[in-house]
Amino acid sequence: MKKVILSVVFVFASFAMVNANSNIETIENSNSIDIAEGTPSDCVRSSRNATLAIAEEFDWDVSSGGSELEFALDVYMVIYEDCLNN
Amino acid sequence: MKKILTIIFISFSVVFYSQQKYSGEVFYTISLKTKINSKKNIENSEIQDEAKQKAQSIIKNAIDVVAYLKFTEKESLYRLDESMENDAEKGINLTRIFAGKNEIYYLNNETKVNLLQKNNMIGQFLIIKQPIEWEITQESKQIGNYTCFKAIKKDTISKNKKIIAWFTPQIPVSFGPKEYNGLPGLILQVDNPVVIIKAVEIKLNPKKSVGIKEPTRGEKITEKEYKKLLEDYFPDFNRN
Repeated sequence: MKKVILSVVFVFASFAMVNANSNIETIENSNSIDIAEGTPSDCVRSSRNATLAIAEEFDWDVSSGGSELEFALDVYMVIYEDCLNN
Repeated sequence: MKKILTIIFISFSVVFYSQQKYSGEVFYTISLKTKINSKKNIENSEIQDEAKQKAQSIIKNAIDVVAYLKFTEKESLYRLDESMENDAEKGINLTRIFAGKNEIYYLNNETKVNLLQKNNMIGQFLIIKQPIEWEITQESKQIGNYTCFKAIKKDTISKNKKIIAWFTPQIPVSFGPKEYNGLPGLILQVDNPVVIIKAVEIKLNPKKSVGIKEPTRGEKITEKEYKKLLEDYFPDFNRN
């Protein structure tokens, strides 16, 4: 009888530990997804596209060595920082 | 003939007015030019609609800013007047970026030091600026009480995006807003492809001395080195 009770307790304890571990893993996974695909890379893409749209609007030359490339990169950095802060 | 007369007039003014010593403070308003290429944007752009909307909203929200230039006989300092800004203006203001954000422009005609102190996500720099070459024309106009002459930045003359400065020999100091300087008179207006910079108030020879300090923060580099650094830092910015 003692053996049966001990076995049942062992089985319950094992389930509880497995469940507890899997919860932690889920949280860790969701965190790592945020870091890899979250705000910073979205901000790079959206800020770059918005800056290029502004450049097109004002007919700037943003090619390598272009006369308004420095302007455009100033704008890009400000939009990017604003995106990260919001 | 007209050009010769203009040169004589400017030279005479410089000689006449330079007998006085000048120092002071000029306040400029900086305004973004209205959009010039919207048709091309709609028809040809491959840029996503979301980005276009964001760009339109940023352009629409651009508001005028005020900057000041302090000058003495030998040196000048230009920067944004942040005391004129309020909390409602804290978002992205495109005009503020072109007016010089947190930048400081410093020029010393005696030591030939011409610096731009710039602070951004790449770092803090003291960029050594090259003097601008101008072509002075005989065209003139009145700005306030001052007769101003038109000058065009030489490397933009043949382009459709000219940089034009209006300077007055009546205040014979070779300073102006941002990097625009080197003319035989104070620059009261600049018209560049992005913004218009206009002097709105001039305080000449104030009783309190004009304090100018050379900026010292940042890594000293040339304009060419800074441009290279930017392109290395953002190699994919302009690639499809």
